[in-house]
Amino acid sequence: MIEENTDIGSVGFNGNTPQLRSLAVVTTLLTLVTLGIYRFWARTRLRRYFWSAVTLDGHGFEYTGKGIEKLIGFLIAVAVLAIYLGTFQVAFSFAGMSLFEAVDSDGDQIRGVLLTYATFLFLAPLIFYAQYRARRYMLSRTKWKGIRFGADQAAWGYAIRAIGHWMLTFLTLGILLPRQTFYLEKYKADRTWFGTAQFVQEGRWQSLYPAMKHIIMGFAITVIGGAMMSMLFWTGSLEGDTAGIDIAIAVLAGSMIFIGTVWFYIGFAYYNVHSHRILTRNKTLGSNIHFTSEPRTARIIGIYLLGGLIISLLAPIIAGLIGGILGVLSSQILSGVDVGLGETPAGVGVGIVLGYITLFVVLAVLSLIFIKQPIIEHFAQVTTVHNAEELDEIEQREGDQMIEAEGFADALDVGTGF
Amino acid sequence: MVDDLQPPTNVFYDGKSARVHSVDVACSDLSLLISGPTLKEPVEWAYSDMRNVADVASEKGASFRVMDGLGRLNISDEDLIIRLKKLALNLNKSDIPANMWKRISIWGAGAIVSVFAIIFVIIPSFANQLATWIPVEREIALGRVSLNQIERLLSYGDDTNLTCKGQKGQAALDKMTTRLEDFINSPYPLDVKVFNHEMPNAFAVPGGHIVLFDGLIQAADSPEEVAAVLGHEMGHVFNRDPTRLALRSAGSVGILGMVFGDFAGGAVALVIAEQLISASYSKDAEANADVFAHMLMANAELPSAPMAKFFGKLYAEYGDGPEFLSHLASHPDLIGRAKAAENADTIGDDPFDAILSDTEWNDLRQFCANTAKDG
Repeated sequence: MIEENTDIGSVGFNGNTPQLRSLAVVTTLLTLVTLGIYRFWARTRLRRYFWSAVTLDGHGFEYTGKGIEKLIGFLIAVAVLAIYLGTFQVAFSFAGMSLFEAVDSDGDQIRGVLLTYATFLFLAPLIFYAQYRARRYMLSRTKWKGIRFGADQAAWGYAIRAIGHWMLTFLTLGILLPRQTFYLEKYKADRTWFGTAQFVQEGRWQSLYPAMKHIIMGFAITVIGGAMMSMLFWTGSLEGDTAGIDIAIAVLAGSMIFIGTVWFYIGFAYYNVHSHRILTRNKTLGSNIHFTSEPRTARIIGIYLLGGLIISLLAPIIAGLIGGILGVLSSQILSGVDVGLGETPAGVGVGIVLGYITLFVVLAVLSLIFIKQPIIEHFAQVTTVHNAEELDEIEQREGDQMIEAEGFADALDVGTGF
Repeated sequence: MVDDLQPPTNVFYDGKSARVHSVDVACSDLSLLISGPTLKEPVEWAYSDMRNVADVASEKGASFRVMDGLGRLNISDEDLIIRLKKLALNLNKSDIPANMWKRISIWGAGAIVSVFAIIFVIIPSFANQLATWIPVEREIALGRVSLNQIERLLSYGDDTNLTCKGQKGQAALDKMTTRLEDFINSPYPLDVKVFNHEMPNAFAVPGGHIVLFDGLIQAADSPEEVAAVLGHEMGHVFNRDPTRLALRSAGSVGILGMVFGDFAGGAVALVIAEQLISASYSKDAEANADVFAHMLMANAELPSAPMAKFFGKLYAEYGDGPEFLSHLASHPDLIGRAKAAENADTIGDDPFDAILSDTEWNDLRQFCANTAKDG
């Protein structure tokens, strides 16, 4: 654990789990109590914590966003989006109903799929626009050594390119995925600033193909398994002389489909991690500042699996205990008081409600502690800045007002995870 | 964390360049003086303008800033921090500019107006228009699907067929339907069924499918009471209410999801808001269906007073409370509806040609019981 690198440019993480725990409990409870209004402040405070926990050369990052600006941004987005989304959804359910023919017909299913894609095309520009703006907001509210990050105003340009790349990837059955990843990242990176210094994404999109190898492998295994299975169905029954061999082939094909599918999904995690590595290696800031970031797929999958396991074991126990204790307490307080819960002993009802609320709080808190924090810690530990001494030469940049903050991403529920 | 990694005691970021200043800090009466060898000139922070940098993840030290300023001062000397906290009294005070509240009220009002306009004006009128454009055969097919789903749901997934069957019962039901139907020009062929379920309920789904529950038939004292409910459901069919409501709720659910976000409290708020909106949507629909039912009864030379009696009975038994969560009672004012039915009665104490004979009424009441026996 203590293999600190005191070289210049080393990224560190000094998270403090008890502090995160109390911050998470307080913010989640306040969010519940205020029917969600506090969520803007909750997100702000958690970001402040995580930003400051990540250090470069011992200096923590700082998040300067405010809850109030997120609330205003959200109100703006609701005012603008309500009309668009409302009419659009009625129109699409109308289209769905008008195209509908009968139960379980193939035609209906195909039309349903096409309609889903059409829905996506209507929403997609907004989603990409919102994602770019959320990123720009987040950068403009991030500081290191008192210097702001920033991004250029280019959300519509990003949305158009994102749709183009997604369509191209879709039409080429995923073969051009690296091209999409590279050019979208380049579009964003080339418009990103730290103070007066600009980031540049260099390199070639073809260099991302090695990162795709496990996706291709998983796909190939699944396809071969599927081909074997369908051949078996076409060539005849599982009877007669060759029954034994046929069954063996069926088992083999079945396990290939299963293994291939799992491989395929892990392949996506591998792709995300390794394309991140390659893209980071080819980024520069200013004249000569370079980066490496080498996260490991196995570690990330491990954090999710272990964290998920811990959460699913702990959450019901903690929620049940707290709910039970509060239920018993409240039944003693409420005994003799008719609270209109009918025949149910008041304590049981109150206990169930409190247990339910507690479960949400516990889930939110545990996922911050056992998933988000370890992931951020891992990324911090594997990241290094080269020629970091040149960072000292960088000057402050103008602030970015952005009164609508990340409101659109918030209203559309995309890309505000942190 | 390892101790020797801590930066020097007081670190100052000037907010102009990324150079770090190692500084001395001196406290005067009204302000803090920050000076150091690398600073061109000392920086003075008035205590009243000083603020905390909150929620910082570190065990030691504290970070300070000044209102509207870009500089940051990190202090790890605990004694100095305690002294500063006594001197600078506004450290935890908010520094939101006054015009923020104006902005919030303007955009808050804008958001509320926009959401209300879309939910209560634009979506309903849009949905009403679109509902008339959906081809009838599509609506019939859609209705059949949702009818199957409801049937499966009501039988708790037993996959049992709830629809009651039998020649005599069906004949009685058809007779009742025909006498009322004679006077309307339904957009769809009517498909009336009885479900073997003890709830006193009835509903209509898109495409002219109407379902009466056996519980409702058993709760009624006369065939006219059942006929009035059937007339009410026919009103929904005639007005295309199920289709219009489906389109409306598709629109409003999306907007509500956006407003409340996805968290525990939000899910609850969403369900409550959706209930309130659909209740307000259906309030008019229910009243119109009642009026339609009165009209059918009058045209068929039947009294609508039994409808009033039936509502009164349901009220006595279930009240307006949540126990009676049926489609019929989504307009909860049963007493008011009973009065309206009373007033609409055109027969009074005069004799009338009963909609079903005693034998037929008995057949209808035994419809489901006989089905169960046969099955």
